[in-house]
Amino acid sequence: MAAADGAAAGSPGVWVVAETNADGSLAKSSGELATLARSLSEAGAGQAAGVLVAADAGAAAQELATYLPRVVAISDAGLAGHAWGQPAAARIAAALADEPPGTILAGAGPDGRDVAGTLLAILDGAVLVNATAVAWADGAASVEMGVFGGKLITTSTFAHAGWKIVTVRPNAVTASAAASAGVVETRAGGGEPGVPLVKVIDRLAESGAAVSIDDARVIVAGGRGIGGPEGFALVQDLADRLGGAVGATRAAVDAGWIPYAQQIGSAARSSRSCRSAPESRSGRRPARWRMDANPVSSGMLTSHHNP
Amino acid sequence: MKLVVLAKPVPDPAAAAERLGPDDRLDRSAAPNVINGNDEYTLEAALQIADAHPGEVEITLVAMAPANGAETLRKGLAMGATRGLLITDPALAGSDAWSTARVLATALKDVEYDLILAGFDTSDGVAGVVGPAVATLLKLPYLSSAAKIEPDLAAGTVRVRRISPTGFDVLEAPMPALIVGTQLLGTPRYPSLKGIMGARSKEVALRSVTDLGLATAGDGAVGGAAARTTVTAKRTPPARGAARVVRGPAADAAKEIAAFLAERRLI
Ligand SMILES: Cc1cc2nc3c(=O)[nH]c(=O)nc-3n(C[C@H](O)[C@H](O)[C@H](O)COP(=O)(O)OP(=O)(O)OC[C@H]3O[C@@H](n4cnc5c(N)ncnc54)[C@H](O)[C@@H]3O)c2cc1C
Ligand SMILES: Nc1ncnc2c1ncn2[C@@H]1O[C@H](COP(=O)(O)O)[C@@H](O)[C@H]1O
Repeated sequence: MAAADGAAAGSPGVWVVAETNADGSLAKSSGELATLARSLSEAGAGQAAGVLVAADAGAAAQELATYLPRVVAISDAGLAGHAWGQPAAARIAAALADEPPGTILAGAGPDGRDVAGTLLAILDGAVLVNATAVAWADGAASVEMGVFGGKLITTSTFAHAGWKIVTVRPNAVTASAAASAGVVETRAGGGEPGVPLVKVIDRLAESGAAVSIDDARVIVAGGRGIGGPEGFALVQDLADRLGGAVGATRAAVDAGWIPYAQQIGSAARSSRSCRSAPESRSGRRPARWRMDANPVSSGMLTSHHNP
Repeated sequence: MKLVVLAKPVPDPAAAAERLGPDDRLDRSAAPNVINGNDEYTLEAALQIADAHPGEVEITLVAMAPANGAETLRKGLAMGATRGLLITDPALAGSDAWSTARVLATALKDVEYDLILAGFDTSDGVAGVVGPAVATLLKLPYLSSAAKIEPDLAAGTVRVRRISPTGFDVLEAPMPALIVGTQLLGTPRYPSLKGIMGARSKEVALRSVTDLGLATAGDGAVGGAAARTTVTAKRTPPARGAARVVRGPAADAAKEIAAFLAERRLI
């Protein structure tokens, strides 16, 4: 599948699967992936390029092009009412069909995994997951990941001639724009998923998730010790001042004090849980502070920091 | 209604004994095996669907694992699953995520189902990609990050509450479909004594790679010899800095913490 016709199509490149925020802007993690793709390109990985699939890819694609020389933007109005992962992956696979098999960088969050897993099957590829650092060595990506809850760091590489997919954790690199903006190629659809589309029939908002803990470099977390829902106002205040996000322990979420979206270390967010916090070489792990205002320690502030 | 729960046997994370063996593969003898935590949440969701439709629901546990995986699946049978299916073959040791998805999808072609449930990720590999890959190989709609699963048998559709960064999206798809579940599905039940006794006589069918018609060498091969990724190095991370606890009157403590953060250029 996806046969390598490298000679005709140019050299393999490194592709970023970009994601958008709810307001259509580029996700912070995608700027990081794009920056990483550029550095791999400089190290010999071939051209860095991005692919962005959204109901209206326009603005985010322009933003992505500030990081990358080439961006393929696929706008598909039909995506607005449907779950993103499967149709997006089908469109991406179609866009990559004429390219020689290279490396694909996707986010390690829920949407990135959806697309990565789908692409893995469509492209008959290989995958390395939860990268905290990616280098280029001996003609392939060399990927560092923390395993067993961060007790061990492994370096892995691919033994595969076809498409090679890497899911990358947030904050693995710092996003920085390219010296000059790249070119955006606009495409209309292409690539049917071949499965019934999943409809989004409602979106239910929960308050309090202003800054997502997915992307935050600073997370101020509260637990049961905060005393009740009102205690999170204090946490929020500090998070606002630090430009960070509010996190919460499972106990606080279970007590209904704060939405699940804020939980650190939860099942749906293992990619950023405390247990498996990224152990990046550069020491750029998110800092966490736990605020504790329980009656026993009233008037105290507990600082917990992962250096 | 027929439900399949993909249930991976993993080293018990509570034993905290996970390690790689000399071949850089998971040393599966280092800790007792349990059903992957996230897969117990989806099993619980399946059992709740069965509770709501007495006598109408069958649950098949499907795993790809070493032969002792059959014992691990007994716990799921004791919780209330109907039967197990274990794909086991020495040639599958060392399989990567692609092989795993391929093997599971192939085995599922001989299984009847309305819904397949997979976990958000596993506690050992933590890839979170096997669910979408299996869905794609079986051409099923894929509903991910589920906090709630509501099948409508009469309409032949299923609704899922998917966790979003700002709350939940309510998704709907026709069945058959594949759903990836999360911890919000509810705390897994403990097996009852009756369940434990009953599990002994439940069937766990075994399949080998040959039974599935797959190859372990050549084009499209599955298993350890065909793994598409390889570990090249490993190291232990530097010990984590101990948490520093600041005690004292709020004003003093705040100053101390601010200084601590400033010193590390975090504020
Ligand atoms: C430390 C470590 C790191 C690894 N890194 C990689 C890597 O980077 N790339 C790679 O290709 N492989 C990797 N592997 C191998 C990988 O774990 C196995 O191939 C595994 O079978 C699938 O990956 P997962 O456990 O991460 O599954 P996930 O994708 O996290 O699983 C999601 C869900 O799929 C179902 N499922 C997954 N596997 C099985 C199974 N065997 N039986 C039944 N249901 C299952 C479960 O419902 C599970 O909750 C790694 C293994 C280890 C131990
Ligand atoms: N003997 C075996 N039979 C079937 N699957 C296995 C076997 N050994 C390991 N596996 C599976 O192959 C994948 C990788 O296993 P491991 O190499 O032990 O990490 C996991 O999904 C295991 O459950």
